Amino acid sequence: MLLGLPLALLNRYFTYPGKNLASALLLVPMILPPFVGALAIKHLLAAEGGAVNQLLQAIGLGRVNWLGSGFAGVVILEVLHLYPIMYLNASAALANVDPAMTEAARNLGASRWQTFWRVTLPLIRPGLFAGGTIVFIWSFTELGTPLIVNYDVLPVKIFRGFRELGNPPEVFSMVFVMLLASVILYALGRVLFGRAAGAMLGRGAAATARRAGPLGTAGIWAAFGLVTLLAVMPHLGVLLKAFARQWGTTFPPQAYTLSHFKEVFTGQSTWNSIVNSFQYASLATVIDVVVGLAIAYLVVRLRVRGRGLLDALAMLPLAVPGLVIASGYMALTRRGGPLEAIGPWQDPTIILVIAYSVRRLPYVVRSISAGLQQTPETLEEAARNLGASPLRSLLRITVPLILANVLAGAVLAFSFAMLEVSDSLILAQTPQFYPITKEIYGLVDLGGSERAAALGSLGMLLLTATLILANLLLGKRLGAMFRV
Amino acid sequence: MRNWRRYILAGLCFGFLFCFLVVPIGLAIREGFLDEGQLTHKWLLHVFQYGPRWRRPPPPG
Repeated sequence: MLLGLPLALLNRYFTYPGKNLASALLLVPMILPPFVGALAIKHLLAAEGGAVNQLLQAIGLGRVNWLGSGFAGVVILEVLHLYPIMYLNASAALANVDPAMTEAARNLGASRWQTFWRVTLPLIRPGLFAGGTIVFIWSFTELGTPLIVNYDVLPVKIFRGFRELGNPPEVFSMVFVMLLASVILYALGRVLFGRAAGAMLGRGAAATARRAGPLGTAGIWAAFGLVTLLAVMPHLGVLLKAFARQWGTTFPPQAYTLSHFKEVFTGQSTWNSIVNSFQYASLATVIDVVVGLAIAYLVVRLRVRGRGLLDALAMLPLAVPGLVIASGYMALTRRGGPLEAIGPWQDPTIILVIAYSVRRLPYVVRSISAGLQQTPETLEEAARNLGASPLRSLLRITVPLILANVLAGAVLAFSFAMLEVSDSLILAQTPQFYPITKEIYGLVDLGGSERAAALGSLGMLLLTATLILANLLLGKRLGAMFRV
Repeated sequence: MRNWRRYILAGLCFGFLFCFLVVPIGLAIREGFLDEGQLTHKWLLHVFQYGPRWRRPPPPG
C-alpha cells in the first residue's frame, strides 16, 4: 500500500507526458514470476558482494545483512511482485470518487491533507481493502518464492509434508488452516466494506487532473521509474545469472557465456521439462477454451437457471489458493485409491492438465464473457432468422466476433500454465514428468542455479511475449482481468 | 437453443467444475479431519499448537 497508493494518487491527480507508458511499465513486475526472481535476489542482496551492498559502500554507507533468515528476501520479492495489484485497485477506487465531494471539503476550508485524510481515504477504503485482501492471500499462500529463498512458511511445510510423508492428515490440516484464513479474510472484506462501497462512491463524475509542470513531471517519472526499476531488479539479476560464466561475490559477473542456455536445450531433463510444460499447457488451454466458451455462453447469452452459481463456481479458483486445489488433487489420486494411476507418483499428465485448466479457467471465462457482452445479440438473431442452427450461428457469427477475446484468454491461460508453480511443485513427483517450474526447483536444489536461471529467463521471455500479444488483442481491457 | 440442450450443456459445465474443483477441495478438507477412518479434529489442534514453525514433533495421542 505504501508503494501502490502514492503512485495511484499521482496518476489520478496529475496529467503529464508519457502517463500511459508510466502506468504500463508499473504493471510489468506482476507478469514476471517472483520465484524466478528469487534465484537472483540472493546474489543481489547478499551481505558479501551483493549489488545493493556494493552500492551502499560506494556512497560511504556500511553493509546491511538484507536477507537475514530469508524473511526479508521473501517480503521484498512479494512486495515487488504484488504492488501493482494495490496500484490497480487504488486507481480504480480513486477514479470512482466523485470530485464534488473533495471540492465541497475544500470549499468548506479543509486543507489538501485534511481533504485526503477525511474525505478521499474513507471513500477509497473498500478498494484498498479489496486489493490488500488479494495481496495478503497471494503472499500467504505463495509457495515458490519462500521455497527458493529457503524460508520456512506454511506453504513450504505443506510442500515438504507431501514430498516426505505422502498424504498425512496433518498436512491436510495445514491446507484447511490456509483455506480457512483466506475465506475469513475474503468474507471480512465483503461484510465490512462490500455494501459501503456503493453508498459512498460518486456516480461517474468527470475526472479533474491538473497538468504537472516540468519539475513535477520529472518528479513523477522519477517515482514511477524508481519503483519499476526496483521491481524488475530481481529479474534483471536472473538474466545476469543466466549469462554469467560463474557468478561469485563480484558485481557484475566477470565473464559471460551462452553455455547455460546451450545446456538447457541439450540436457535431457531440462529439454524434457520444456516439452512437458508445452504439452500440459497446450492441452489445458484447449480445455479452458472449450469449457470457458460454454460457461460464458450459458451465463451471458442463454441465461439458464443457476447461471449465477455457475459463474461463481468458474471464478472460485481465483479465490481459493492454488495450493489448496493441488492438495485436493493429491487427495483425489491418493495411493491405494482408484485414481492412483494418474497421481503424482505415477503419470501425472492428466491430473496436471486438469489442474492447470481449472486454475486458469477464470481468465478465459472473464475474457470471453466480456466479448459476448460487447457483441450485439441481434447479429445472432439475424442468423437464426435466416435459418442457421444455434450451433452454426455460434460458430459462424458469435465466435468470429469474439475471436480476439477467445485468443487473449487462451494466450493468458497458456502462458500462466507454462509457469504454474504450486500445482507443478506438488503434483509432479516423478522426474520424467517434471514441468519447467519443478525442473527449476530441482536444479536449484542440486546447485545448478545458473541453468535454473537460464530456464527461468526463457520462461520470462515467453511470458512477456505472450502478454504483449494478449495486450495487442485485448487493449486496455487486459488490466481489468487483474482488478477486483 | 432448445431448452433441453442448454440444460445438458449447463449440466456438463457444472459436472466439470464439481468433479475437478468442488470434490478435490472437499476431499482436501475431509482428509485433514480423518484419523484411521474416524473423524477427528486432533490434527487441526496439532497445527495450531505448533504453528507454522512446526517441525514434525511426534503425532498426538
